[in-house]
Amino acid sequence: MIYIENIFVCVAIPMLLSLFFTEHRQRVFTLFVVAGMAVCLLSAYVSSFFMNYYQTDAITTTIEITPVCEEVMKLLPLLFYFLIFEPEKKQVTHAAIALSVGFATFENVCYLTENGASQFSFLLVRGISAGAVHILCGILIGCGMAYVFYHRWLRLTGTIGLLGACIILHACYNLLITADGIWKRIGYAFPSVLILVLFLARHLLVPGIILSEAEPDSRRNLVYPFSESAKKSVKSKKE
Amino acid sequence: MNFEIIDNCYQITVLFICMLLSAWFGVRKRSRSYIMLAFGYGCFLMGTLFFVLHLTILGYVPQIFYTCEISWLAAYLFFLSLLLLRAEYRTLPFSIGALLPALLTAAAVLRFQIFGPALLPCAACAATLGAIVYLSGSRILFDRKHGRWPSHLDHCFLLCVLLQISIYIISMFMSDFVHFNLYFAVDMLLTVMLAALLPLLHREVRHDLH
Repeated sequence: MIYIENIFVCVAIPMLLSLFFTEHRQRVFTLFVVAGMAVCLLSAYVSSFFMNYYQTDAITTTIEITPVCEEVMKLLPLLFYFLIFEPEKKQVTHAAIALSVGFATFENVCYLTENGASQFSFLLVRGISAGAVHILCGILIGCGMAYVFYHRWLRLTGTIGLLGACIILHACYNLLITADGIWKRIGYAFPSVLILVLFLARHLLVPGIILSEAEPDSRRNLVYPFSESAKKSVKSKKE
Repeated sequence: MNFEIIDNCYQITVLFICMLLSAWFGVRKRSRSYIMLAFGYGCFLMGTLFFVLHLTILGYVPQIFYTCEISWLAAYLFFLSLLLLRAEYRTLPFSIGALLPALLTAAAVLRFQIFGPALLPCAACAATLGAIVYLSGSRILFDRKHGRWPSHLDHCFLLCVLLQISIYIISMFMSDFVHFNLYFAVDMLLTVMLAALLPLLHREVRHDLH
């Protein structure tokens, strides 16, 4: 048995203390990392409750109950931030990723406490797989909420849809790693591969969609919406 | 070989290709419509993939939280988002003619417990499919009223909803999921209809990614 509440207190307090001496953006990021850890702690309780309620074994819980509970719990603080504070688009993405980082970190810390840190290769695989799947879900939900489904009714349908997408990604990962052989290897690899694909797509194909600092592409004479020239043209139209 | 696996693999392959194409068009044309469609394809194929993997790895279908159904419902929510986005460009008046089939669809979903039997996913499915039918139907009726040729995309959405409901109803009367039968024929037709959404959207897409 591990005392995850004690671990949470130990890890979260230094981060919370750092909030007094940091600037706004860093403060928001740190706060969401701590929130991610708290959500991880609460998700463990909720998953355990449903495990007992449905009388399921560990494998069924891992594949079918945990992804739903964890992704729903992760969405709640982000939704609160998005609806109450109405932040800028890129801050929603940063908050979602910070939340996922906190969640993945706390999960790994608990795993280390339970199983020890002697096997480097296994921990490396865990870092690039279990950690990556949370980051992948964070990127998906953050970018989706901020850049695709940000308007009127789309907020509702899009956010629930993104939640479903994150649940199925998480469930597929959990299912694959419970198998043996090639399925397990695919399960370990696919979150990191997908993050890599998203990263490459962001940099090679669409510098203007996600990056606020993107510049006009002179080769194709395209003006991206966040570039200075685009801002100037919007300003001149308003005037 | 089990025909259920063949049918699901066919669906995964077709929808994966459609998802890649749709994402590519979304990025190149800077259009949210394509990205929503890509999300929809992605969720639908992931739901089917999860179902197949669960069956292959563990030997039985998911039973507790209906994860596949959550994913398929998410796919329809993305399709609904696409229709809502189109409705933002052209506001349509309230249509009682479209509301009736939408209510019938919702009632059919609740009656046959599609994406159920749990109440929450079933009710969410009823609302989503009903809204898709309403938005598509009202656009078709509006275009007909004004002497315009209705969009094929709206017809395709209506057919997808109809086929999705039909699959669940047909599955209640089927016991053999090993050999080819009506259930698989309808499922394959649904895959074709879902794939047809991409070329039909291609005709009327706008450049709107901000």
